[in-house]
Amino acid sequence: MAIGYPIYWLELYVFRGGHGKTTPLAWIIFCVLALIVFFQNHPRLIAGTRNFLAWFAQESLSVKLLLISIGIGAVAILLCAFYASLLPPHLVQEFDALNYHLTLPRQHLLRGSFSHIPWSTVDLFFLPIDFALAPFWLATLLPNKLPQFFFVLGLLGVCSRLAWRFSGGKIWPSVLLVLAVLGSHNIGIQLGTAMLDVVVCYLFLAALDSFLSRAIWLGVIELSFYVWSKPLIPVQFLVTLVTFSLVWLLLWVFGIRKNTWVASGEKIKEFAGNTRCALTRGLGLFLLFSLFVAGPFILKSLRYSGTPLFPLGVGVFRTLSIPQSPERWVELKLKATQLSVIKDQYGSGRNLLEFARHFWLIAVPEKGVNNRYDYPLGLMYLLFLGPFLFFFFSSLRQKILPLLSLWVVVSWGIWWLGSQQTRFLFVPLILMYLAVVLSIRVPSRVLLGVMLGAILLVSASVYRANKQDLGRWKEAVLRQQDKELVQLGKDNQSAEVIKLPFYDIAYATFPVEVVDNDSVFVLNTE
Amino acid sequence: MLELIVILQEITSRKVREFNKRARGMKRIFDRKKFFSWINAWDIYFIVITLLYVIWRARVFFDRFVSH
Repeated sequence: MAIGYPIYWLELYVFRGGHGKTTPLAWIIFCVLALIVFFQNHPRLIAGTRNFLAWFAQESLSVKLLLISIGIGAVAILLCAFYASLLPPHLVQEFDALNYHLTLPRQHLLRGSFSHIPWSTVDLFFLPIDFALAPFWLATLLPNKLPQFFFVLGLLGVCSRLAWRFSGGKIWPSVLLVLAVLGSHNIGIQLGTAMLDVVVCYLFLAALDSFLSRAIWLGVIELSFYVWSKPLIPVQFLVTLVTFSLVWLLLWVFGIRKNTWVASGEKIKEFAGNTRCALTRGLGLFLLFSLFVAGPFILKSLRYSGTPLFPLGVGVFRTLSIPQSPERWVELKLKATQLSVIKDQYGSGRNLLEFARHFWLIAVPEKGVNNRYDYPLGLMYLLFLGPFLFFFFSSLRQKILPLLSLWVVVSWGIWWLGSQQTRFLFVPLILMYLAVVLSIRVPSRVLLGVMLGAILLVSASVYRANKQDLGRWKEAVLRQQDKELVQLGKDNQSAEVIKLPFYDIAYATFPVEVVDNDSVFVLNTE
Repeated sequence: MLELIVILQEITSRKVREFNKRARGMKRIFDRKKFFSWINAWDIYFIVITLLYVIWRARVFFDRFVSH
């Protein structure tokens, strides 16, 4: 992110590579920095590997066999994801990438300007992650999605580190957490695709880890990109933070104050000394860095839709926007309403019965492979849900407040009152796993056995999602529409704007104006 | 006297046999208890939830199969 974002602006206004492609500069800097970090940390990596092998050797034969079997399932998922990440985006579930993650940064490069693309509704969204990753995606002949795979590895690394840190250097929690993350259906099915939910989740957990390690600058960068990653996340994050503080206060008033734990057994006092100063300093830096990350998008949204957070509150600050026709304001409000309707299409109501039912229904498929909450969370979530609720409520009964679990409960509640789309549950889900694995001293063989089952089910799903692409390469996997766009780009080398009736134009290497399309993603420019 | 010793020996050996028999039974019970102690309450939760999940997945799979 820190490399890609400034380089995108250089690509846009200085390098101007042409045909919507970027220079390999971002990849070169990334590889150099990765090598430096690797050589700086390789003694710790070797020591960690030795510790892991020593720990593995002392386990019983049955546990070793179970771990090897789970490991084979996990490696199969990662190999499948790696293969998929080498292909250009083309899957049905990669629609958002084809629609705007890739398309909009590329169209801006083709136009040589950050100005609003008049036909695109989504161009008024926050897109800092899309811009930061574009120099990596667009450096190859066909767009690639390799950065997302690096974020998967990063997510597993951060999870392992958080569990290791909170458990005081024990290996079991790290191993269990990594396996639980890989064995979650909603996460597994996104691996190797061009979707950005894993990236967003990584940013939150990495920010948490960085703040705990007192790497304030790094934490600020990660938190800024997380908070400004999507239009609703700043609102969701703020509401969660305020509600969390209020619930904490309420529990304190009700007498739950014998002890306050960050996680199981970790008293807040042990962390407060490290984190309080870091948080105060981090908040100032966060506001400063947010100007750089979100500032251009806030200004664009204000200028063209009269709100800093499109699609929320269109026209509220109309005096700050450029003069636009009344028809344009009507069109903007209509699309904003349609976007909120799309958001409300998920879930099944918000009464008490539905609340109770959703704990089961979000885990399982209903018709086909998906459910009313989008992607099912799978068996792994169900395995951890019972222990999580038990540990949380038994802590409260003992007048002990586990903050990590409280954050999970609060953010889960806000999710249920908000979008009810499971892709927004990645962070609370992983924190829930973390809270549980920290309470397990040594997992039973039965738990390892059912975790093996969950991982095998996910590996089968990941294989099924990608099997049609095995043995195919590059343009062979593309949709017919994208193949035609690639051909059109080869035939048309000029920079003139071409009118098209569809908007998922990630493969267009020429500026496009979308016409005759009533989609929510297209603004009528007439 | 000799007869008394023989009777005592017989009683003793019967007692030993009974003791051995009971000990074998105890061992079996002990083994079974060990098996149950190996599965704790959380393991029962894990097994039940996995079975329910698998049954649900199978139902959805067959529904799809039948509808096709």
